[in-house]
Amino acid sequence: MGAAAGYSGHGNRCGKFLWSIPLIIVEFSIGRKTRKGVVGSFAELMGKNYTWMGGFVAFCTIAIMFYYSVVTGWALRYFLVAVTGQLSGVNHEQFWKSFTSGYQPLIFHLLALGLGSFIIYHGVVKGIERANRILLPSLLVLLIIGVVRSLTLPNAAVGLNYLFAIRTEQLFNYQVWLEGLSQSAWSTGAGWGLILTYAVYIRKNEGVVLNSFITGFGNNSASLLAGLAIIPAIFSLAPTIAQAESALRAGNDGLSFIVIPQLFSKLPAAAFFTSVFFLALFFAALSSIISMLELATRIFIDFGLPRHKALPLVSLITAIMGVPSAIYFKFFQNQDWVWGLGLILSGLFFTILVIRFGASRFRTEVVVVNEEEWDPGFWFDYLLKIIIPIEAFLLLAWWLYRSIGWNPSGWYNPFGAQTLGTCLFQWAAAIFILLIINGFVYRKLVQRRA
Amino acid sequence: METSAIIVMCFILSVIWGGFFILVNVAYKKEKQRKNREIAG
Repeated sequence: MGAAAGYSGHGNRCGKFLWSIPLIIVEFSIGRKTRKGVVGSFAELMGKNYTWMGGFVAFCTIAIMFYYSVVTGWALRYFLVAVTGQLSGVNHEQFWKSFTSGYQPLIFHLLALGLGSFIIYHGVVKGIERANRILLPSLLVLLIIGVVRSLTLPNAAVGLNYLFAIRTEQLFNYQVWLEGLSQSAWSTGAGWGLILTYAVYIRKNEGVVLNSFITGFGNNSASLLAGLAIIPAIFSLAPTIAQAESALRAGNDGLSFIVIPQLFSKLPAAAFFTSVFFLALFFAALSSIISMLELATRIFIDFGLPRHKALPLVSLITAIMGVPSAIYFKFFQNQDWVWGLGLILSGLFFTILVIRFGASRFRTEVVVVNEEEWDPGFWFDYLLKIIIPIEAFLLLAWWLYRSIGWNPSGWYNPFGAQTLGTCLFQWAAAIFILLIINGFVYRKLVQRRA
Repeated sequence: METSAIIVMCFILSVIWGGFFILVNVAYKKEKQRKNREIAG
């Protein structure tokens, strides 16, 4: 989260109200109304000329699924290694490098994908709901164990200061707010199409506004627990405050798979607490991969394929498309950069849908459809018409501008790992393909069914 | 721990966790009412 990691948390919480919760309301409402997946919903509500936008939202999330399955596999492998005590006494950086450069990530990518597919093969109620009934409470228990251990370490207060102390000089730092907004956009899953897909299965009279607020607050509650479990522990176990701050800037994979095992190895019962961390990470990743698999499966179901045929097809495609990320770390980084940022564009497409439909009309005809539903009020219209599109443009411009600074001499390179060029090239390629098949997809999803 | 950090921590935790529990409680009550109506009707 960058230099102002602790403080951007406040920006993150503002971001919930200015980005995530309105988009979650939009997704829930669309899924409940259309009873179709992402592409079918865009086709139905926006018409033929805009079906490709739904295609982009789906493409973006599916592209993330291809490499996210690899991350789930890493977490599974590290849990197994930690629980058998093989992580103790190793050089964690070397261990990580040798692991990611070998064939093991491929095997664990397939294992994680197989497990996710097995769960959703049994459908939404018997598969996804049943699995989440085990995964989410277990994740909560594991997080609470982590919080208790972290807060009882010596000097944990230094980490709490870092996490919560007000640094007034950062209040006017635009980067902190943009970092917080980005974190909010990515952590809740708003604008990914996942919530829309789950909403296909909710009751017609389910309160989407209440559920959206629960989703936003629940996500923040879990994020706070994770922060309390990790940040005080890092500040307590790192030799100096500067080293702790540098550990927090190590990036997601560096922090999770190198720094945390390194620091946790200093704890008494290190194997237990490292195992708890990786099991929690695996459960969190698995619950995400399940929702992504369901998103892709739902689209094929909308095309007329039964679940028992759609899911194996999705799993096979994911297994194959995840291979480059599993065996080539630079490719993984590239995909994480391109499609992670693509999610902001996905969020923008959802707001375009609402604007085209008419924000007030969307609120009265799609959101508030029964007497029990809370009316989000006029603020919802203005957020979706003005604030969120401005946020999306700012976020896209800021991240793309930053990427020029990371690679000033080769920012235009379409084959660079994290360049502006690769981002624009891959988005343009995806949109070009989606525009070519736009008419065909629309006919299949809307006209044929009608 | 700094006093300002303690105040901010208490504020954030009570708003976020408190808000979450209140919303879950509202949802639980609505669900209960719905089930009661279904049984009655």
